[in-house]
Order: sequence, then structure tokens, then C-alpha cells
Amino acid sequence: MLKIINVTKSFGQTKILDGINFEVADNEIVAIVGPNGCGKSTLLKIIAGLETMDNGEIKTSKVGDEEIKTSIIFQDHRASLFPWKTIGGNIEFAITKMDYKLKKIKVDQILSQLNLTKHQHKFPYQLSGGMSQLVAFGRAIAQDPDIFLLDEPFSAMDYHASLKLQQQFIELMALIKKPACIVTHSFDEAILLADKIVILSASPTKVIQILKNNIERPRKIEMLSSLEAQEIKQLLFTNISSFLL
Amino acid sequence: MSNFVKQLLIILTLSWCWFLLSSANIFPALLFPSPPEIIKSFYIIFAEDGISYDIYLTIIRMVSGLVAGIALGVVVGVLIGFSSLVKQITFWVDFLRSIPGAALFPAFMLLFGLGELAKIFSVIFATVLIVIINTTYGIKNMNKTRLMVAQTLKLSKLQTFFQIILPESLPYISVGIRHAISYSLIMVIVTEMFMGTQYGLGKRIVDFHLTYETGKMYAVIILTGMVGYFVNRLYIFFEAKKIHWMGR
Repeated sequence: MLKIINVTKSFGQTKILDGINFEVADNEIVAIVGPNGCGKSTLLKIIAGLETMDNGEIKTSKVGDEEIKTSIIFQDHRASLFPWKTIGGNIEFAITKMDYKLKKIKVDQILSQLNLTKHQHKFPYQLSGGMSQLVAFGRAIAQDPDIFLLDEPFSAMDYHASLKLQQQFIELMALIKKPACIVTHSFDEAILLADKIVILSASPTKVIQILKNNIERPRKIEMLSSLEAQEIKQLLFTNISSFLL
Repeated sequence: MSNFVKQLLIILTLSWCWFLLSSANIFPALLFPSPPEIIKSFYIIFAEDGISYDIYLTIIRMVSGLVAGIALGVVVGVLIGFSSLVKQITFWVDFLRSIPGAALFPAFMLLFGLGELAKIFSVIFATVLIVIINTTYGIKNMNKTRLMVAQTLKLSKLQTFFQIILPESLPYISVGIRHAISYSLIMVIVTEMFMGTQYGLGKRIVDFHLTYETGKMYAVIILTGMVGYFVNRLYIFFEAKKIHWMGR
């Protein structure tokens, strides 16, 4: 479990995050939605330890002062993969502290899980956008994190590729059973993927509302047209209408 | 029409133009020899003048200065790239770069004598600065996303440098190296012309000029171009293999 407690962050004089509180339970997927510039990405970076916070705490169920292990999937897969390494090499690089043979087995396992085995010797620039983001997923899995952090992972590709990748993500998470935080602009994406949707205000950012999504996982894309999904979407729109003005 | 045939046609056309120009007697034949004369000279410089040794020596000087210049340039460029004084230092590198290498010949000759050392130092001077600038630029402009990935992978500083930052800046460094290659040949040829030596393509051009063996002079000039072209192609071939992600 991961608890985000009263996280506050300013850049210079500008207060960005103003006391953010929410929880991510084990095996729970949390979507974070909010307007541009509200500090969603900054929040992910704070959780990953890539950015400091001025105030607040990130608590885990880990004992002692063992750090949480996170892996981030960035929006821009072109900028996040290592173009000098092959697909297999990118995934292998993320596995640390393991002897060579075990490493090889794990890489092969991840590659076949993602249906990337036949592309393993290619380089990232030789793959389509959706497929290279899949490689970024593979690398994140190889890191064996306590929590996956995803920063608009489906928005740097065309609509169909993004739907396909979301379906693959749903299937993967059903197998891996680990918590994840997804920053997104798309309500459909949030409803399709998440168990819980955290709605943030414009900066200085606070949590406006946390919506539960109890539709059973793993979900199919058709679920988005169901009544339950529509109800959640309605609530999302109601909640953001205040800062659309 | 194959590429080879097209190239052959171009060569023949150019030679024909040259031939017409030389037979029009605008310049005396002694000063502006005809293509057959130059081709004949090509044969003679290899068969009788032992030009192979000059080619060898010119390439050795060029490559040793180049290798030293690139190695030094990358190391210094990296140090500057990570330094907090990067702006101030870049100004001085730019200033030094504005001094033509040839302007420093007298100084180099005073400091290093007339031997190989002075020539190689001239090449180092001409190549190191452009490599420094490109390396620094590569380090400064590296992709921040991959650095963050490295951070979540909990890589050590040394690992981050060798596994992420260095490969990340290789395409920039390589642009510097390409420039350095052309500068190095210019520098070697000019030093061979003006700093005392027995052998080298630059020396041969001057010698054949002084003895009015203009056919041979042009042959050596063309040969020098070939050396430059060959070294360039070799590097680009190597670059496409080793830095395959460049520009993708």
C-alpha cells in the first residue's frame, strides 16, 4: 500500500501542489486527472523520488526505511527508450542484481508476455509508437517495482494504437497484480483502467474528489458504453465543470 | 543507367572540358597541363617518385593528430559540459577557435621545433576545439527523460555516465569528429608545405610547383583529395555502424 499524505510543492513563489492526500491499495490502479499545469507529472516524480517535496510524506507498507521501488512510463517513448540498445537490451538493462542466466530467462519471459519476441533484436526506432511504448512497459516490468507510475502513457500515438495498448495494459496488470498510478487527460482511459479516480483542481492543486470505479477488472473496451461507466463519466464532468469556467 | 556509368560519364565530361581548356592555350601548357599529361604523371609519381611513402606519412600525421585531438576534445568537452562555468569557458573555446591554426605556426615551431611534434600539435589544435564544442553541447542538451529513467534504475554516477550520458552524446560528438577530419587534412597539408620536412603530400605539391612539374603537382593535388575523401567515407561507414541511432 502507498499513502500520499499532505504532499506540498512550490516552484519558486508559485505553489503547485497544496496538500495532496490519497491512497493506493495493493493491486489497485489509480488514475489522476486534472487540468494542464496542475502538477500531475510533478506528483508522479515526487512519488518516484525524482523530485523533492516541500512538505508531506509518502508512506508504504514496507518495513524500516527501505525505499519504494518505482518504475515510470513516460508519455514520450522515443525519449525514454535507449536507442543504442535493442528491444531485448532495453528490457535487460532494467534488471539489476541478477546473474546472467536468470536475467536471460526473465527477459525472454517478458518478451513473450508482450508478444515482442520476434522483435527483440530490433532497435526502438524501428518499431511503431504503440509497440515501442509496449517495450517501455516491458522495461518497467523488468524493474520489478512496488508500484508502476505512468505519465500519460497512451497519448503519444494514434487513437487505435492507444486503444490496443490500453487493452494490453489491462491484460498485463491482471497478470502482474501490482498497484499503479496513471496520469491521464482522458476520462475514458481513467474509467477503463482505474479502480479509483483522483480528480485534481487547477494549481494551487488540491484533491477535489476521489471516485470509486467498482466495475470488475479486467475490463473490455465495450464496457465504456455501459450504464455504470456513463454514470462515472457524468460524475467526472460534474466535478470538473467548476474549473472549466 | 547504372550509377557507375553515370559517374564515368561525369568524369569523362569534366576531363573533356579540362582538355578543351588546356588545348585552348589560354594558359601555357607548362602551367596548365592536359588530362593525359596528368594521368601520365600519376603513373610516374607512383613508379619513380615513391609517392606511396608520402601518402603513408601524411595519413599517419593526420590520424595521430586526429586521434589525440578527438580523445583530448571528448575528455575536456565532458569536463566543461558538467562544469558550472560552462558558459564562461565556452566563450574562450569559441575565441580560440577563431584563431586560424596557420596563424599559430610560428609559435608552434618555436615551441616544438620543425619536426613531427609541431605538425601533430597543429593538427591537435585544429581538431580539439570543434570536438570540445560538440561534446559539451551533447552533454548539455542530453535527453532528460532517459536521465530520469536512469535515476529510477538506481544507477551509480559512473554507470549513468558510461551507460547513458556517453551514448546519449555520441551523435553530437560524431558531428564534431566529422568536422575535425576535414580540418586535420587541411592542417597536415599546410604544415607539410611550411614546416621543414622531406616527405608528405603537402611537401610534394610545393616541390613539384617549384620545379614546374605541373602535371605531377596536379596529380598530387587530386591524390590529396582522394585521401580526404577516403578517410571521410571510412568514418561515415564506421559511424553508421556504431552510432546507428543517429538522426532517428
